[in-house]
Amino acid sequence: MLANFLSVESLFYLAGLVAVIASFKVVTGKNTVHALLYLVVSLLAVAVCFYLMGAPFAAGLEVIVYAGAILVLFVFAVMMFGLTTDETKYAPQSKGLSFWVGPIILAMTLLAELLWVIDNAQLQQQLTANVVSAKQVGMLLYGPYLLAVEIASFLLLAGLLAGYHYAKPESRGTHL
Amino acid sequence: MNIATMENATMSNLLGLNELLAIMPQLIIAFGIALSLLLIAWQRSQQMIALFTKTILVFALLLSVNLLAVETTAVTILLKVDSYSIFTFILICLSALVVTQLSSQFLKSHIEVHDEYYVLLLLVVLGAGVLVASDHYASLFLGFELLSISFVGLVGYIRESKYAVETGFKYLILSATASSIMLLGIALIYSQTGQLSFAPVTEISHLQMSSFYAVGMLLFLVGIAFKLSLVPFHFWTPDVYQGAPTPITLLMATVSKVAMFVVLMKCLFSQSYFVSENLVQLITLLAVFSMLIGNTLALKQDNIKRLLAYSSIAHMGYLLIVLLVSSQQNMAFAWQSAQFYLAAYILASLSIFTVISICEHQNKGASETDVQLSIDSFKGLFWRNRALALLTIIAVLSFAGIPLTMGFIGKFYLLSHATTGQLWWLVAALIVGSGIALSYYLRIVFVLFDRNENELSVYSYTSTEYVLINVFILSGIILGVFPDLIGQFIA
Repeated sequence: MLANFLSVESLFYLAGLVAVIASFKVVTGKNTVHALLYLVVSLLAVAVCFYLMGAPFAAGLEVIVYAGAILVLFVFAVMMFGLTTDETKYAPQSKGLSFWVGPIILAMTLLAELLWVIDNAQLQQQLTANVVSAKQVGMLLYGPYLLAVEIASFLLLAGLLAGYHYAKPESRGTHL
Repeated sequence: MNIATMENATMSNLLGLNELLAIMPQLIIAFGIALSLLLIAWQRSQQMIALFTKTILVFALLLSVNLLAVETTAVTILLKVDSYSIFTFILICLSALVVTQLSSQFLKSHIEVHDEYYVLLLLVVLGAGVLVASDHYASLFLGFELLSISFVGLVGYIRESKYAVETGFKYLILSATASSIMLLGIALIYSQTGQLSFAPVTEISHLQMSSFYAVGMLLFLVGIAFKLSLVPFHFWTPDVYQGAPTPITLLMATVSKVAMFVVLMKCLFSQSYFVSENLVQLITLLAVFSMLIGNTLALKQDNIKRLLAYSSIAHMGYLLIVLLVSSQQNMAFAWQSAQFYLAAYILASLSIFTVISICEHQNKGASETDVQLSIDSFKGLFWRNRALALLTIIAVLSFAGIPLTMGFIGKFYLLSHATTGQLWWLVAALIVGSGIALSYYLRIVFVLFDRNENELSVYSYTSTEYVLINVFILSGIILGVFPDLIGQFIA
C-alpha cells in the first residue's frame, strides 16, 4: 500500500514542495546565513527532482555546481563582508536549537525519499529505463547546440567584466 | 525529440561554409571581443581600443551590407539568418558606431583607461546580433541575457555619478526578474510543444486550446515587453534613461529595442500565432496603452532624457501594430513596415542623442561628473549653433511624424497596415497618441528659437562631431524626401 502511494510521480511532487518551501524561507528569512542554508536545501530538492525525472547527470551537476561551489562562495562572501551592525540589528539572534527544526525536517524528507528510491527495486527499474546519460548531453552540447555553448561563454565574460567594473577599487589619478 | 535522431543530425550537419558565411558579422564581433582582450593585455590606451572597436564594427557593417542579398540560411538549429536579420544588424552596427564615437568624447574627461567599456559595448552588439538571428528559444534567452548583463555593466559605468548605483541596480534586478519570468514562460511552452525551436509546431490549433500554452505565451511576452518597455512594464525606463551616460542611453534606445522587437516578430511570425484570439487581444491592449500612456506621461517631463524615454515607450507601442497581421500573406508587408519604421526611429534617435551629447559636453563644468539637461537648456540653441538646431528640428519632426521626414512615411506604413487589418481601435489610438505627442515635440522646437537670454556663447565642436552632425542632417532630409532609397533594401 505504501509502495503504491510512493510512486515516482508523488515523490517528485514531494521534492518539488520541499524546494518551494525552502525557497520561500530563503526570501522571508532575516538572517543571511540561515537563508543561504535554506537555499542549499532548495537546490538539493531540485537535484532530487532532476534525479526522479531520469536525469542523474543534471542532478549531479546541480549538487556539485550550485549546492557545492556557488553556495560555498555565497557563504564565504556573506561572512567576509562583515555586515556587523546590519546583521545584529535586523537579524534575530538565534537562541537554542529551535531554528534547526525547519531545515532538518526538509533535509530529512529529501534523504528519506532518496533512500526509499535507492532501496526500492521496482522504482529503480522505472528510473533507469529512460536515463539521459552524460554522453548524450555532451553530444548535444558540442553538436547542434555548439553555438549556444559559445554564446554562454561570452555571457560569462560579460558578467565578469560588469562585476569587475563595479567592484574594482576607487581610484583617482592612476591608471587602473 | 528522439535522442538517436539528434545524434544522426549532429554527425551530418556541422557548420558548413555557407552557414559560417551567414553568421560572419556576428563571428567578427566575437573575434573582435577576444582580440580586444588581448589588446588590453598588451597595451592599455584609450585611443587604440576606441579605434579598434570602430574598425571591428565597420568590418561587421560592411560584411552585413554584402550579405544583404543572401538567401535564408539556417545555422545549426539555433540561428536562422535571413535578409530581415541582416538589415537589422546593419542598423545595430551603425548605432553602435555612433555610440562609440560619442563615447570617446565623454570618456576623455575621466582619467582612467576605459577598456572594459568598449568590450562591454561589443558584447552588447554581439548579444543583439544573436537575438536578431535566433530561431530557437535557447539562443533567444542567451542573447537576451548577454544583452542585459552587458547593459548592467554599462548603465552605471560612471561610478562617481550620483545615479550610478541606483541605475545599475534597478536595471539588474528588473531585468533578472523579467528573464526569469520569460524562462518560466518558455518552459511552459516547451511542456506543450516538446520543442524549443520557433518553427511551426504541428497541430498548432490544438495547442491554442491548452491553457498551459496560453500562460506560457503570456509570460514570454511579459519578459519581452519589459525589454521593450511596453506600458504595464515601463516603470524602469525613465529612471534608467536618465541615470545612464548619454551614449549608453542611446545604445539602449536603439540596439536593445530594435533587437528585442525583431526577435519577438520572428518568434511570433514563425508560429502563426494570429490564430489565437487571446494573444491578439493582449498585443492590442499593450499597444493601445503604450501609445496613450507613454505619450501622456511625456507631457509633463522637463528632463530631456526622461521625455525621450516616455516617447520611446509610445514608439514601441506604435510599432506593435505590425505584429497584428491577419494572415500569412500580410507578413512580408509587416516586415517591410517594421524595418522602415525601425530605420526611421533609429536615425531620429541617433540625431537627437548626438545633439544631447554635444550639449551636455558644452554645459559641463570642470568638476561635475553628471549634467542633467532639461528642455530649457536648449533655449536659444538656434542662435548659438544653427547646425545643431537644424538637426534637433529634423529629429524631433521625424519622431512626431511630420510630412517630408522618415517618421511620416513610417507612420504611414503603420496606418495602412492597421487599415488593411481593420484594426480601428489601434488606428484611433495611433492618431490620438500622435496628437498628444505633437504638443511636447513642438515644445522642444519652440524653445530652440527662444531669444530672451542676454548673452549666448557659441557652441564649438570637434571635426568628427561636425561631420557626424552634417551626415545626420543630410541623411535626415534626403531619406525623408526620397524614402525609396531605404525602401529598395527592404522590399
